[in-house]
Amino acid sequence: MKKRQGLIITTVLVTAAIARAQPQPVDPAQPGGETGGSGAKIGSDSEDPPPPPPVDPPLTGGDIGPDPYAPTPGVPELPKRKPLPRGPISMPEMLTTPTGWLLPAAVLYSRTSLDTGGGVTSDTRVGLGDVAEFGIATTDAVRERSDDGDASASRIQPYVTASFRLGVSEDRLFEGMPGMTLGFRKSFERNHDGYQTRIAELTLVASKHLGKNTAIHVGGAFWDASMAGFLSPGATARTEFAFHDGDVKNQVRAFGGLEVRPLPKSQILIDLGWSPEFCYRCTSNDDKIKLRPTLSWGVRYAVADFMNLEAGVRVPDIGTANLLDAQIFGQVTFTSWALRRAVDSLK
Amino acid sequence: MRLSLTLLVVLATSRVAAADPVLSRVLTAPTAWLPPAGTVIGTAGYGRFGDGGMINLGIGLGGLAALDLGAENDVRGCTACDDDRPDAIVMGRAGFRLGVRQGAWGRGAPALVFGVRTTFAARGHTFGKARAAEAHLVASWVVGPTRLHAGVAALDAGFRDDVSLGPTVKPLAGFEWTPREFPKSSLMADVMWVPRLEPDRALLERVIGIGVRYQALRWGSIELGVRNREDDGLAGTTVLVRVNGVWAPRDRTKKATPPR
Repeated sequence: MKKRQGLIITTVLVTAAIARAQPQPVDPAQPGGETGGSGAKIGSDSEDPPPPPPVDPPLTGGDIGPDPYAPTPGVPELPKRKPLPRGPISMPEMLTTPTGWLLPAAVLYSRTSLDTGGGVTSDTRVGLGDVAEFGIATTDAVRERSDDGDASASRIQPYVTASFRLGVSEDRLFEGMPGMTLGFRKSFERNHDGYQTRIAELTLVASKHLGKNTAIHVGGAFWDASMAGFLSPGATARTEFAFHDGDVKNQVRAFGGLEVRPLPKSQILIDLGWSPEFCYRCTSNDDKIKLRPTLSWGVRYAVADFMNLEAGVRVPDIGTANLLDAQIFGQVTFTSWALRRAVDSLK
Repeated sequence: MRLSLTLLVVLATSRVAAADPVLSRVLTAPTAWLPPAGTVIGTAGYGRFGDGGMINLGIGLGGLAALDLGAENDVRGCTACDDDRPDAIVMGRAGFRLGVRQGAWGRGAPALVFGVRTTFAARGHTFGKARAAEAHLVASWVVGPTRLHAGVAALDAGFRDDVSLGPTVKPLAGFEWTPREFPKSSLMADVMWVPRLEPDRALLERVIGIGVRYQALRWGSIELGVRNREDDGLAGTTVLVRVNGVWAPRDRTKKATPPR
């Protein structure tokens, strides 16, 4: 008895399973059904099939007519817009020195910095056509001394500069090519304590990624500067002295830096740059304008694609190894693709 | 001898903590601990005779550095140094520390930090342009219930433009012990050098500190300590109390796991 019941149950289950595995038959009355037309022909070879009775469209699913958003035949489709590159960029500046990387076209860059020496600086740039960039900045790197007996140099700030850089991005002309930029930075004339000073700097930098997490920057700078005022002890007439009046080799300096990314969002940065120092009443012309080496190291932390926090230590004159001159700085950098998007939308 | 050997074996075989602590100093000496990225640490303290008072805010940067900003009065100055106790000089302090966590460079490797601290905006003294700066290299280990800190510091201090100590290298050390029976309490001791300004010179004085830290809350702790400075004698020992708070941002990158 039990065996027979088992056989019946098994048969029923197998049959049910097979039945469910079959495709659901299409209602021949439905228009547009796969067998709607042909189904009507079943049993009537020559006669026209009777028109199907009107059927209300289902509320969900079923045939709801042509897609109003479907492309219209015959109308040419507009070319699809290339997706914009976004996100983090290769920064145009290390901590104090420029890099061989340029801002992408129409990308805005802004950096604001504070340090324990009371320095407040800002740097605003815009990328031009992927081959150049323009910027306005204030710097607190220019320093001054009154005479030979003045042991500690003080900063002249704010010192406003304008910069223009042009160059070629990495790997652009040939595989393995470093990013290269030729930059020019010039200050507006600064009046401070009765002295007028100006600086200008021409830089050529090459930057190269070494693997995914390391990059190196090497460059050379040609500096010029001038000052005007009472430039000697007991002077009664204002005179002017320019850096290029002295030895040319004093104007040329090499600079560079290293970036390492030990963590996905964090970079360690080290760079060595130069900054001018004016000594208004120094007796020797060689001491009137000097370039001082500045060593900086710090960390760049990518808080978001558009925002970086940087902090570190800057030693304005590493040549004297004066620890008391060391400054702790913090800065925030923003980059924006908004202008790029706006420009792109006009195309 | 046997005790020393036993202690060494116990320390060597103890487990290493999975995560580094975050506080950047013992009592005076710096540690090699770095806070995780975005973690904010606040400290406020008060000390007898104004010694040991501080307020400080630190933030972890990218998991490999930390930035500190605050004010403290570790540096002292005196104008009649034979008669009067030197007065504490309140100075703004900023520090930047860069380093690696314990075990980052291999099993058993200590946490290692290179830091620079400098002052700004000194107040409440007669020393014009008073400044102090310090660069330190510190290694820290968590070994079982203890935390060991050792390193060197190059210190400099000066005032006006003509008085300066010049970079002077000194050792530093610290020790913390958290008994297993009292997991929220730590006994601390450290030795460090800090500048002292005198009318015509700047010099360094040794500071020895002993104290207790009680981790009252998951995010907060309180410290009670005593510090003794070189040449002060036992009677010149000062008492200080400090509170620490640690705020770590929630990691939004981790997916929430629904409760089972």
